Amino acid sequence: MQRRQFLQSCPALALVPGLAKAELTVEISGMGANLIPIAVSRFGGENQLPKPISEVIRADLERTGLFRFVDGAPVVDPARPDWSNWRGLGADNLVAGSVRSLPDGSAEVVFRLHDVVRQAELKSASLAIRPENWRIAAHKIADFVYEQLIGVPGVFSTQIAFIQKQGRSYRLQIAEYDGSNPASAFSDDEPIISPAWSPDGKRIAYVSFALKKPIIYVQTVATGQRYVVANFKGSNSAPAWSPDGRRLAIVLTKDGISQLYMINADGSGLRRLTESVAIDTEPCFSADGRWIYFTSDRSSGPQIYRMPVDGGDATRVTFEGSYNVSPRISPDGKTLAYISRNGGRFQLMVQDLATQQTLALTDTAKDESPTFAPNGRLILYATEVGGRGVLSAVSVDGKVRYKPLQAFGDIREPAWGPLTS
Amino acid sequence: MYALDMPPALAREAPGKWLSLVLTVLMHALLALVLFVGVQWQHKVIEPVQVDLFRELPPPIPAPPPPAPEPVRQTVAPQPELEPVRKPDIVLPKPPDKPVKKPEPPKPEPPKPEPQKAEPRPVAPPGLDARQLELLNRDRVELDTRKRMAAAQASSRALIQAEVESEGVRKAQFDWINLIEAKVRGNLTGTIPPGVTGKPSAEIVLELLPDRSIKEASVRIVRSSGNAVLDRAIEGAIYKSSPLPPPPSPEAFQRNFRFVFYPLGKP
Repeated sequence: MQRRQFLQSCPALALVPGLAKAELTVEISGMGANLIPIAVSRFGGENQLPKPISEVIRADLERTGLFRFVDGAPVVDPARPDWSNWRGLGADNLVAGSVRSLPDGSAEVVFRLHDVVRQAELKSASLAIRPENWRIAAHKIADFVYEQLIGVPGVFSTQIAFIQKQGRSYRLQIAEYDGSNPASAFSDDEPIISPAWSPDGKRIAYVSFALKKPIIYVQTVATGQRYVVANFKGSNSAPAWSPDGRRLAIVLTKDGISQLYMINADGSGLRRLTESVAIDTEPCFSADGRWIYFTSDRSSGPQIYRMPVDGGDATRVTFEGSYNVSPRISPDGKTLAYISRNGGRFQLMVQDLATQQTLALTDTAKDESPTFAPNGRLILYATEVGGRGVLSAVSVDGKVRYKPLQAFGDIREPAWGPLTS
Repeated sequence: MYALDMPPALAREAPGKWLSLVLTVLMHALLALVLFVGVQWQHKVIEPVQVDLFRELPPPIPAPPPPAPEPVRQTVAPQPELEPVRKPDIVLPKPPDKPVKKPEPPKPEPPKPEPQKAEPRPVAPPGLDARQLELLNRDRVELDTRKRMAAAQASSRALIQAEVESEGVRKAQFDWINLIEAKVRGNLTGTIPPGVTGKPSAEIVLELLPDRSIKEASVRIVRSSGNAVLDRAIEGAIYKSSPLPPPPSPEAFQRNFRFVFYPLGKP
């Protein structure tokens, strides 16, 4: 009322646009880059599990560097949390749930993700698990939460492969995304190198020196069965799956120097791709399968090139620095990750393929073998800490760096598996 | 003999011959003088033309008011002396004296306002001579002008006052918007979901309650960013910002708001 009188007493105020429209406009440009405040309450009945499931969910989310955790009393009824309490604690989101043992020995895990601000349930699900697979359930719940709040699938329930050397033996290990619970897919006293997941995650191609020379195998993960894909004269190495999983780009020296070849996944239909007088190696398919990126020293130092998948002229892709190797293309096809030698240090780099802008992601000195997480948000790579090979990860924007993953021995050549449904 | 040879009238010497001669010479001299003087006069006529032009310059009247007060006071003071109004002759010589005393440039100017303000004369009380009437009129005109100026000043002061106040409200609203922006931005959590391309924007309209808390039922996304996760983060930032910070002054308060978000910057 007072304001109306004021307005009437000052006709000139009608000229003020904001007052005439009777609406104020507030513009907010950019994101605050603030961490998402979230609470992960203890799950009812989680003590029956070897380790509290809520702790694993929290550890998964924490590792992303995108969340800020709010602690509070355990939620008694996951379906009806005390909104004002959690809001008062500053949590925007709340994960709550319960674990219940079933008569057949399995367990049912129910979880709910709440939007505390709007006082609404965002997502809920029920998982029936074998008690020994409780970690898988935890990773799946973390995936749900991540996808709801970040907008891309989580990778907590994906797997990675890597080569572990312990004593004199080499092992092809398959582990959870964070390196935990590794299981050996193949081991030998001779070196194993270059593991590569098939796009469906059911097979792994790798190179074994078991027969005293490098031979390419493809192994079915579930059964352990394997077969030889390429065993030609000389070296057979660096297998890379085509996005459709039907073919492999490989490197052979059967015609002299290392050159790129294409071969069907069953080992048939060999075809030479490059015809150069230089070393061409480390092939990698583009996300759309139309191009092959590879390393070549055709212009003195090693650089990254690309060529049409069915052969043709190669064009150079990297121009900064005199030594750029190990190309990997992001799942969205927009980013190239590679290793660059900068003043004696081998560093993980990314290059925006559209703008050619490059960014060094690490400050370590012996980075190698980059591999993209299947959601494209992280790059896993091998590096050396204290003379020992470890796996580390970094977000593609370089903002979040992960502690080296937990594993024993000397670890090399990681390969990140695809998303699992 | 003489009488027989010539008629007596002719024989006689012409009377006044010398007088005629003198008159003739005088007439010629007079004619010459008239001609000479006449030409001289015509020469002088050219100058008055210039004078006329000069007279037209002063008409811009705003100038007169300042000098006017002085002559008025000077002439008003002598008025008692002029009480014997009977001797107009004496009065007349005086004006010439004054003009002589004030032959300075301002002098020509005062006379001009007079003719323009000749109309009020009838209203003047009787018993005053022309000069006094003029002076009186000048006073009135001046008073009138002052009144008008004062009135104009007062009204423009009111306008300025209103303008100043609205400027104050505008400034307060500007400051308030900055406070609100800071609070909402601080509540905007998360990162840009991958897959969001270009420079999307989202718009939310809402109403405030008198205590500046957001009327939840009024919150409406009128333009989506095109990404559900982003929209939720934006909407969440709005909800979390309730109540909005107080405006710097109560007059700046406004109920209706439109929030425009540019998560990847303005296009």
